[in-house]
Amino acid sequence: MSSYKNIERTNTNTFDAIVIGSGISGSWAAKELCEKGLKTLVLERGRDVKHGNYPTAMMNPWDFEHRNRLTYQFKQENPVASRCYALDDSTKHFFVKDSEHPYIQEKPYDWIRGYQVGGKSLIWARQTQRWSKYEFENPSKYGYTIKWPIGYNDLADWYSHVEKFVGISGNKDGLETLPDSESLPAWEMNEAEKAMSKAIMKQYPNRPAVIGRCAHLTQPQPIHLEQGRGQCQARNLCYRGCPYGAYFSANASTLPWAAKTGNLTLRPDSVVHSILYDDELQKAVGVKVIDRLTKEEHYFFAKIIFANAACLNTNLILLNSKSNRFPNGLGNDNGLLGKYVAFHNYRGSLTADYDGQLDTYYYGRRPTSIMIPNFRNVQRQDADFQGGYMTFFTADRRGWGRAVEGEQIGAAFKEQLSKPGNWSIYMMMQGETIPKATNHVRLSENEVDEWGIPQLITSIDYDENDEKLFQDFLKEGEAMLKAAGCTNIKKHDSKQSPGLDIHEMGGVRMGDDPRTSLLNKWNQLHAVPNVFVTDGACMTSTGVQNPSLTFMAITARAANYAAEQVKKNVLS
Amino acid sequence: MNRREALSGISLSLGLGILVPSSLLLSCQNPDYQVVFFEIADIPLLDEIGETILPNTSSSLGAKSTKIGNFMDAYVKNCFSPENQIKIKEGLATLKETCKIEMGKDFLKLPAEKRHQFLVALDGEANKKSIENEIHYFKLFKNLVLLGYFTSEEGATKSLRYLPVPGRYEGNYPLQSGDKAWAL
Repeated sequence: MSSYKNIERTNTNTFDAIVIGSGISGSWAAKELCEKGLKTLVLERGRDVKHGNYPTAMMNPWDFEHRNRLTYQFKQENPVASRCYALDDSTKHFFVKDSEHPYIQEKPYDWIRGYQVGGKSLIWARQTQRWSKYEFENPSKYGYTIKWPIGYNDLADWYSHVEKFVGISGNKDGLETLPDSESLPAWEMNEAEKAMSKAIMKQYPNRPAVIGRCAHLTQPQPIHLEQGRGQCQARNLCYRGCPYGAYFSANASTLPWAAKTGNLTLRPDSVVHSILYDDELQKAVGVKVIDRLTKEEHYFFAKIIFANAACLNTNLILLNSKSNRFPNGLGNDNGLLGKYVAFHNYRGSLTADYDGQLDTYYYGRRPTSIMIPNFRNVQRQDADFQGGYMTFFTADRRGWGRAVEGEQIGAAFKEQLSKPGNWSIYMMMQGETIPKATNHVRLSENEVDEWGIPQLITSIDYDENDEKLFQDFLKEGEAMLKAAGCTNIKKHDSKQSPGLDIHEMGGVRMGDDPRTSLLNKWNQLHAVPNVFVTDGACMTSTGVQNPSLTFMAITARAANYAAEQVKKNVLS
Repeated sequence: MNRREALSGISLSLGLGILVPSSLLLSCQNPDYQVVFFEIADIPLLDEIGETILPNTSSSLGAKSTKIGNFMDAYVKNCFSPENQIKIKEGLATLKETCKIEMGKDFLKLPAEKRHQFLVALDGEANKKSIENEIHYFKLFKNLVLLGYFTSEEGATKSLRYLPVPGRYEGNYPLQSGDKAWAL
């Protein structure tokens, strides 16, 4: 366990800071730390992916032998990954294959992962809403989690800081439940969506339907051009990687920016085994790495360590970082590490027809949808469940898969299919789930992976509150679609397992009280202040918004604080 | 892994030109498609079934022009479940037999309008099964033809409008009668 102590510290293995993970939050930590002058090592367990190395990005549908569909064999070998909406023949090289990285599902859990430089920032959904004060305050106000140690006002400037760099499209809607971002021009609604939004807001004045906000450059600013990024071309082939750098990815944006400072060392193929805690010095001193390819052990040392391995892997690394002082995992004095894992409830959706606006169409493929911010349990507890949900919808004209009038084969059939069909509506939910001690991850005592690291056991499930919230969405969704003038409204339950939302959060939650939380308000482990956790693992509750923008803001805030503490020699 | 390595070996020039995957280059070198699931002799029949479902029209060629039989063969082999592979193989035999009994001739020996008449009836039968939540074998053929055709270059660019790089989004775009649907 103490073999690293014999290793000489050299300038190839010793840095000011180590960041574990190169995805959305890790690359933000790297950018901020490098800009503040810290020599920073970024460790990525997967292979390198250079911006532009997106082999399928310019392929046409007919360039794929099976027209971008997955083979039966691939689906059989990768049942979990294949369930992800973003995985197809054109994107599968950016997703972890089930068999390569096993984990143990004590309860069904679809763990979707992207092991490469850039992580899941290459394959994220890119929807970026700020949290409002309600997401920070309501969970403790209504008694379903501990108090967040930070509030909206602590994060507002950091939201601005990351938004300007990332580039967020959206309107200034002036909504209390969905604070405005520093924004680039918004995407447009199509005519069906405009008419529907108007009708919904007429009947439900407290349910504003606004165009989504997303991390796409609708009008690149000098800061984006300086990154080498260009305008979004409205192709909506984003999950293949964007050759224009038009959506935010670590590969196109934060990582090359960090590299330009001369302070970045990026080491792909570096599987982090554990964080090293020195019982005498009473601090973390570095990390143990297993080379992905050679399986050799390496040790790296630094003054501060940022854990940004993505929520569950950050939990895994901390649980596996055992020392005399911390026999149950780093910083785990209260036994809560790995507990209070939550996620987003995506089970419900509705489909419908919309009969008007047949003389209008749209041009291009928009990378966002219509958003209706949460209207449940906002000002007061007004539902028979806890938490809330956001609603999203889109209107598209039906394509060649539809039935038409008359004979369903032949020339007339083909001519009809070559024209747009009527409007088809899709509506979905993004529901808050309540962090609970029982929803947890822990290490297997018997099973290890290819690198000798214990496999993760996931024990995460829905509860009665999730069921009630889901039913409420279906009821209110139907009512809103009726108000919007839709017909043929159908409700759907995907029955999907937790995890497929890819919004896992918690396990290393923030809080003021070391007895009930792992991290303080600056994302430092209460018991090991030179270790920071700023990915989804730090989240005290889940909110209803897509979480990545908040991870970025929290990371930038913590990284700037950490850099100051290093400069003041408080952390050394 | 081989495919990933093959893919990552191809360099990408930003926005200039269309990437040609290695599989296409190979197929150019070997224009003769190797049949992997159906009988070689069945490919012309699959082509004509496809052409009857989506024939030549004034704006675009039909499914046969896209080598729909080859597409169906590869897709069934690689993407169908074993159960559906059996269903479609038996379905093809049933289709041949039924055609002989009901139309008095092999499908390939029928004139176009008789082929159409036969498949309209078969499609009607398949639609009835759908209502009972059963999948009729003809649905498997028809879905393959629709997928293969409308994602082919002819289908996407001639029967539909294909925009690889729209460049912008407009939420209110005029639609004149006769305007085609977008391919994606």
